[in-house]
Amino acid sequence: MAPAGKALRFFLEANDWFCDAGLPSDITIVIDKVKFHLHKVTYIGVFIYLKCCSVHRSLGPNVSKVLLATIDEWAEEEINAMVEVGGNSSANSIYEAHVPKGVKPGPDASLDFEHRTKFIRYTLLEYSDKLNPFITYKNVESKINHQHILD
Amino acid sequence: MGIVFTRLFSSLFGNKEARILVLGLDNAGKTTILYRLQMGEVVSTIPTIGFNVETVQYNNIKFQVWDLGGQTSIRPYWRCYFPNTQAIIYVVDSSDTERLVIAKEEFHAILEEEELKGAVVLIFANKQDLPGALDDAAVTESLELHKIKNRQWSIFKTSAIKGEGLFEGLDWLSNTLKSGGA
Repeated sequence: MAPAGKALRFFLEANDWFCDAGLPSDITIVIDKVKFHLHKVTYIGVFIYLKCCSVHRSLGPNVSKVLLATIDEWAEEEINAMVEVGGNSSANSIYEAHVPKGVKPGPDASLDFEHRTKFIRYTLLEYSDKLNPFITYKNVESKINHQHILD
Repeated sequence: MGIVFTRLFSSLFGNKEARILVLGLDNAGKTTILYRLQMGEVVSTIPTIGFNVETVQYNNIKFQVWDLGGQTSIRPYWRCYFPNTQAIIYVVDSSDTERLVIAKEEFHAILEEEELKGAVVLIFANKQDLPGALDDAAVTESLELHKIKNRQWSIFKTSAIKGEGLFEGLDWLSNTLKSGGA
């Protein structure tokens, strides 16, 4: 469904809108002859550094789930999440779109746990909410106003 | 003479030793709990491959605490550590409601183990600091703790990050072990 190599969680395909909407199951609704396909929320799968993994683990399972590449057993949907996102650069282009250069800590940066937490919380929790207008059943109409964001 | 006196002294006034296993699913908080107990600090952890072992002296008991990695693929190795274990600390991420069923299954599988028949069980309903965390009553129900037979057990609400509930649990454990255990 999603355009290849893109991690957009909100996109137009032909005349249909698609969005991850946090619903218990996928639904399609029609407003003004425009179809809206609302998906269940899926994982956004990316690779992370070991030093950042402790931060992700501390955010709680509702926000972030860490799997080890070689030790954990991966469910099919978890593998799919990695494939569909289209790689870290694709996911970063959205989650870190407005992060100034040089702010992001690298794998060997000597940043302490607190600094890493700050960065990850910012990109994952606060900023992504603003970037991906998360449409739900109730505010689906307001989504039409978001069209310009994607143009 | 000195050695004899030391031995006599420690047998009268404690210095009992106990081997404890800390078990639970991955990311339940086992390692964080271990180092909170041992150093009194919150350490940032990465998934444990293998184990961490530390000695914690508390209430005249020298606890040798083994924290074993909880990833699915390494859980089968837990049994290598079962012999001569006096107590299990089973750690549950109370906010991970999706995996409570798995946590329950692993828990009851442990209780079935012959080598752990004599071990007392302390359950930590951990991560109480996270939103949506179930309380001790809800975790008791989810883990079906009422099914435990012929064994001393207790459950405590804990937050390893905040340091809450851990030593209350250890109090129960030391009292139970001093009074003869299961």
